[in-house]
Amino acid sequence: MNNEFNELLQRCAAPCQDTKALERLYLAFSPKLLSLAYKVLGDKGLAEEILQEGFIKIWQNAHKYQPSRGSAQAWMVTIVRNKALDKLRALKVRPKEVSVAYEGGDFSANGMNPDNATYLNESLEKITQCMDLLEAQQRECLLLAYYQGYTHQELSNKLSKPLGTVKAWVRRGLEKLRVCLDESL
Amino acid sequence: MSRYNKQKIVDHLALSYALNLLKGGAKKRFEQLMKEKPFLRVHVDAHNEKLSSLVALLPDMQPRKQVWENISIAINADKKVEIIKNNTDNPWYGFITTKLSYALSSLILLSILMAFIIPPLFQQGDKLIYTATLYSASKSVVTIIANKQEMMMKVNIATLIPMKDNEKAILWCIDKDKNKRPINMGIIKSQGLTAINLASWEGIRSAAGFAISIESANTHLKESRGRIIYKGSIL
Repeated sequence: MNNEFNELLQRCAAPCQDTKALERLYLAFSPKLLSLAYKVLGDKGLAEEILQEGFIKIWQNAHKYQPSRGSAQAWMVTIVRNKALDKLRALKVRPKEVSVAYEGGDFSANGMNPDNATYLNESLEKITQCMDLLEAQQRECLLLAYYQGYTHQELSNKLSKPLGTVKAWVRRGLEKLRVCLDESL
Repeated sequence: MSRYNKQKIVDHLALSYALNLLKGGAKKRFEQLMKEKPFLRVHVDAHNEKLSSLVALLPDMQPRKQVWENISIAINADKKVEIIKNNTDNPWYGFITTKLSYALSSLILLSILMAFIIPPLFQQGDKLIYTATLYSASKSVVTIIANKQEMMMKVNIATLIPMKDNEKAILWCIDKDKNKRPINMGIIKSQGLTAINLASWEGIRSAAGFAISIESANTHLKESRGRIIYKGSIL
């Protein structure tokens, strides 16, 4: 499946400039990418704006995509997430809190078993296994940073914990995650 | 710099960057280093690859149909510009390589037509056609043509203006006399061509330029209260 998406993304670049290929990528990924942008921004209108700008950027930069460096999915997720985080910074205020709960689970809960995930590929299994190794606070900090662009200070405020404590959670969480991901590379 | 060669630190920084935990100066320094040392980018890409899988855990959200329609208009406009770029083989106009220069050259061509080929369109001291190019902060371009004979303005927007449902784009005519308020010329589409019928030519005759702002959809405005996204002078 990944190869198919990689090919579709490559067909968006010149000389093909295949708009049907982009449409297929849009149909496949827009529900997840919109959900990602919504999680960052907390506003569906803004999230749709980001999705729109994101796909235009994907189209314009498709020639820069290199399958050897990663999947089309990861490349598109990075573009949309960065756009959403840029927008969040431009707004200068964190919008209304978006629930950080997964369907059927929560970031901070132990044993993240995403039963409701629409697809579980090998890569997802690995990252969830690695996330499971983290303590609840460590996992919550890392996921809030990834999904919602929280800084250390914002994490400290949100979790009502001293900055030093939050930094330690992040540092230890990162270290555990790094070791686990390295093992699965 | 040598510390970045240590595998453990490199990987820690790459993961921090992928998780958006590097901020301010540290982030800028790491991004500069990624340009100098491509292996850092490889580490970040590897982490992004794994972390991106987390998106699969999010619940699906369906975008409105309008979102794809807007994307479709934007990418088809891009394709047209690309075709023009690919067809410019003659060296003397080889500079037509961007949307900006394409828009400018279109206006220059129009000016030549007005000056030499369509002289009846000119009257002593009173032009019948005004043209203007407006620019955004990101150098996107809007072209405007106002025609007295047709009593019509045509506004052509190349790049989609992102707007919320409760917002509208307004075209303003800015007078040469700075003491006069800009005139609200009407609502324009977020992309493509908008034709505006003119009730009077008076405002255009003394216009120095135009601007486009984003305003709340629920208000009828005599002056701009929103953010100006394009502005430019009459040529």
